[in-house]
Amino acid sequence: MISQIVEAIVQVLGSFLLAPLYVGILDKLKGMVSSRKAQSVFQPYYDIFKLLRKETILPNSSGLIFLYTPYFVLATYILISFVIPVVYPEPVFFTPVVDFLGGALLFSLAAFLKTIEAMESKSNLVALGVSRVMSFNFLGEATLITVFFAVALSTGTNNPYVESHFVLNPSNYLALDHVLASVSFFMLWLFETGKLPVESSGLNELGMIDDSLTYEYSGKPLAILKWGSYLKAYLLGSVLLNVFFLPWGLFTGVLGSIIDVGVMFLKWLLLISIVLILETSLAKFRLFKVQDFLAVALVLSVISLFFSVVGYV
Amino acid sequence: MIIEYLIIFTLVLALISVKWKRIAYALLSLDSLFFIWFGINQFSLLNYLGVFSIVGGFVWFFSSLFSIFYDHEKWLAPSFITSILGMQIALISSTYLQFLAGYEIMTIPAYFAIGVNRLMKSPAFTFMAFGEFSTVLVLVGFLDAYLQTGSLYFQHVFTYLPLVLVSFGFMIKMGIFPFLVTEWLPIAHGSAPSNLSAILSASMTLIAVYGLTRMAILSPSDIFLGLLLMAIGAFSTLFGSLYSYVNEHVKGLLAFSTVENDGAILASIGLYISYPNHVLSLFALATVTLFVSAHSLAKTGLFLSTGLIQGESISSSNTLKDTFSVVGVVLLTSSMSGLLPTLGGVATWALLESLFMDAFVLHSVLSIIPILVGTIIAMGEGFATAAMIKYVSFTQIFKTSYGKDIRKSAIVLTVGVLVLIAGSLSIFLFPSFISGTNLGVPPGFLLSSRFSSSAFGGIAPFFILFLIPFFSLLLILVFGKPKTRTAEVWNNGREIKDKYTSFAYSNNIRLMLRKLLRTKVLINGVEIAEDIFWIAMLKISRSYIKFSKLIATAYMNSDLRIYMVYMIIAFIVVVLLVVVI
Repeated sequence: MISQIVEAIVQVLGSFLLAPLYVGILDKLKGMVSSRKAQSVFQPYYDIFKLLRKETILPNSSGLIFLYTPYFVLATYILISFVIPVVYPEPVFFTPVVDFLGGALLFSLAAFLKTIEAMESKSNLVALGVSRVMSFNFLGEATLITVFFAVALSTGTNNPYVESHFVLNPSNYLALDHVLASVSFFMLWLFETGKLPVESSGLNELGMIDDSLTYEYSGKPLAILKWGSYLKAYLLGSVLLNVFFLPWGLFTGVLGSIIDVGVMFLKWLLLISIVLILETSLAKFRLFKVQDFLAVALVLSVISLFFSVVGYV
Repeated sequence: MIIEYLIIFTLVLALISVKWKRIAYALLSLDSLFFIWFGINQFSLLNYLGVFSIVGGFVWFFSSLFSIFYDHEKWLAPSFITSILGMQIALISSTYLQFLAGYEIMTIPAYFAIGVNRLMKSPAFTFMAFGEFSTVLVLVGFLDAYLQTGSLYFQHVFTYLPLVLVSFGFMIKMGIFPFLVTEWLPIAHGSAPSNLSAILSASMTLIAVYGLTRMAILSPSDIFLGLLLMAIGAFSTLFGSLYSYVNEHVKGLLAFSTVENDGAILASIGLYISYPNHVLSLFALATVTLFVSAHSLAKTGLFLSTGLIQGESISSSNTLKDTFSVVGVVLLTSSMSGLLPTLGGVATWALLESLFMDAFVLHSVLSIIPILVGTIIAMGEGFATAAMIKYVSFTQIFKTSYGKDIRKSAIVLTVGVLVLIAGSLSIFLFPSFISGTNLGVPPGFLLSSRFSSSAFGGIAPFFILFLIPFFSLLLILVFGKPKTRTAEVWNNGREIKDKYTSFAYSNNIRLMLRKLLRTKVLINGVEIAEDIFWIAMLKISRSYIKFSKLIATAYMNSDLRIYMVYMIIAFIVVVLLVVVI
C-alpha cells in the first residue's frame, strides 16, 4: 500500500514537474537547428514563474468561470497522471479511478472546461479560435476512440497497462494493427499538442487553433493554463511512448519508479528528436487541410481495427 | 393500487388546469414525486423498467414546477397535463391496449398544443402524421404478439417479428434516422413552448424507448436485428449531432441533440438484442436505462433553460442570466457532451465500453459492425460537444445578460446539480458490476465493465467528482488566488458590440462538409444547411402528387371509353384470380 502511494507520488510529480522541461528542450533544439542563439531549456519554468507573480487582467464582462476554471483544468490533468502509464509501468494508487476510455473522457472534460472559460472572455478572437477547435473535434475524438478500440481488440481489456505488457512481445509489437494504431495515435498527438504541420504557435500566427483559447489570459491563470498544456502534451506523449512506440525499459518497485523518471527522460529525447525533424522541415497546413490530416489518422486507425479482425478470421 | 389513484388524480388535475393552472401544476409536481417513489419500488425488485418511472417522475416534477412561473398561455396547461397522463398510463400498463391508449393520449394533446401555439398547421400535422404512422406499426407489432401468445398482457413472444415491427414504430417516434423530422419540426418550426418541448423531447421519447425496451426484454434475441439497430442508431447519432451543431434555432439545436441521444440509446438496445453473452447483455440493458436517464434529465434542464431566452435565433436572441443559470447550463451541457463525472459521461463511457467488449466477444468478421458503430458514435460525440459548447456559449456565457429570473434559473441549476451528483449514483444501475480494488478505490465505488468473470475496464465516478475539486483546491492553496484588474477586451479595432455569431461558429463545418449538408448560399449571402432526409421525403411526396395528377388527367378524365377498358381489365383480373385460387 505505502509503496503504491510512493510510486503514485513519483509518477505524478515526475509528470507535473518535468513536463515544461521537455518543451524547453524542444525549443532549445529548434533554436539551435535554425542557427539562433537558443533560449535556456528552463525558459518555460522562467515564463511560468514570471506569470505567477504578475497581475491578472480580467476582461470586464467575465467572472469566476474565467478566473478559476484553469485550476480545474490543471487538476483534471493531474488526475489523469494517476491513471495512465506515464512514468511507472504498473498501476499505482488511484489508477482504477478510470480506465483508458475514461482517461480519454477526462481529456475531453479538460478541453470542454478550457473552451468554456475561454468563451467567458467574450472576445471575438477567442470565439474564432473556439470555432476552429470545434471544427476538428469530431475527427480527433473518433481517432482517439478507435485507437482505444485497437487496444481493446488486441488485449481483451480497456487497460493501457495490459497493452504496454502485451506489446513487449516483438510479434505483437510488429503486428500491422499495432503499427497502424501507433502511427494514427502519433498523428493525433501532433494535432492535440499543436505541432507542425497542424499548428504553429507564435506571436504572428493567425492560423492558431488551440493557442487561441488562452488569448485573453494573463498572470496566474495563464501560468496555470500553460502548465496544463505542457502536462497534457507530456501525458499524451508518454502514452504514445509507453503503450505504442517504446514499451520497454521501465522498472518496478519504489526505487524502480525513481529510475523510470530517468528512463522516461531518455525516451522523450527520442520523441523530441522526431518532432524536431518534423517541425523544422514541414510547413503548416492551411486550416481546412487539417481535416484531411485527421481523416488520414482516423482511416489508419480504422484499418488497424480491420487488420485485428482479419487476424481472428 | 395507489398508482391507479394517481392516474385518476392526474386526470382531475388536467380538468382543474382549465381554470386554475398554477394550482394544477403545483399538484402535478407532487404527483410526479409519487411516480418516482413507484419507480424506486419497481427497481428495488430488480425490475429495470422502474428506472423509466423514476426518470419520468423527475422530468414531470421539474417541468411542472417550471411551468408555474412560465406558462402564460390559455390552453397549454390542460394539454401539458393530459400528455403526461398518457405517459403515466403507458408506464404502468400491463396490456398492449393500455399501452396504446396511453401512447395516443400522450400524442393527441401535444398535437393540439403545437397547433394552437403558433396557429400553424404544418408542424402539428407533421407531428401527428408521423405519430400515427408510429402507432400503426406498434399496433401491428402488438397484434402479432397477441396472435402468438393469445393474451393481451405483455408476455414472452416466440419470434422476433413483433419486435421488428414495434422497433420501427418506436424509432419513428424517437426521430431516428431517417425520420429526424418528427423530433425537430414540431419543436423548431412549431416553436413549442419550453415546458412542452421538455416533455416532447425528454419524456415522450422516453416512453418510446420504454416500449421498445419492454418488447426487447420479452422477445428472443437476434444478432442481425441487434446489429441493424446498432447501425441505424449510429447513423442517427452522427446526423443528429451534426445537424444540432449547424442549427441556428435555440430549440432546434436541442431537438437534433435528442435525435443524437436516441441514436445512442438505440445502439445500446441493439447490443442488448444481439445478446453476445449473458453478462454483456445485462451490462447493455443497464446502459440503456442509464443513457435514458442521462438524456431525459439533462434535456429537460436544457429545454427549461430556453425559457430564459427571448427569440428563436441563437445569434440574435436575448438572454436572462445569472450565476445559477450559467452554472446550471454548463453542468447540463457537460452531461450532454458525455463528460465525466456527470450522468451523461458515465452513460457515454458505458456505451462505448459495451461496443468495445462486443467487438472482442464476437471475435469474427461481425466485429466490424460494433467497430464502425463505435467510430461513428465517437464522431457524433465530437459534434455533440461542439453543439453543446455552442448552446452554452451563445445563450449564457458569451452573451451579455439583459436581466435575470432567479426562480427559473434555480430550477435549471437544480437539474444541473442533479445530473452531476447522479453520475456518481448511477453505478447502482449496474448492481452486478460494482466492485473495488486495493488501489485507492474501496469496494462499492468501482463500476467494472466485463463480459466474463474478469474485468474489462472500470470507472469510479464518485472519485472523479471528489478528486478534481480536491486537486483544484490544492492548486489554489499552492499558487494562491489571482490578483485582478479589469480591462476591455481587444476587438481588433472594432466596436465591442460587434459580436462573433453562433452562425459563424459553425460555419467552418458547413463549408467542410458542404456536400453532406447541402450547404446553400441564399441571396443575402447567408449559408444554410438542411435536413437532407426531410428534403428527400418532401421531394418524393411532391413527385407522387405530380404523378397522381398526371394519372388523374390522363386516365381518369371522365372518358367513358377508358372506363369501359377499366371494367374489362378488372373483369379479366377477377376471373384469373378466381381460376388460379
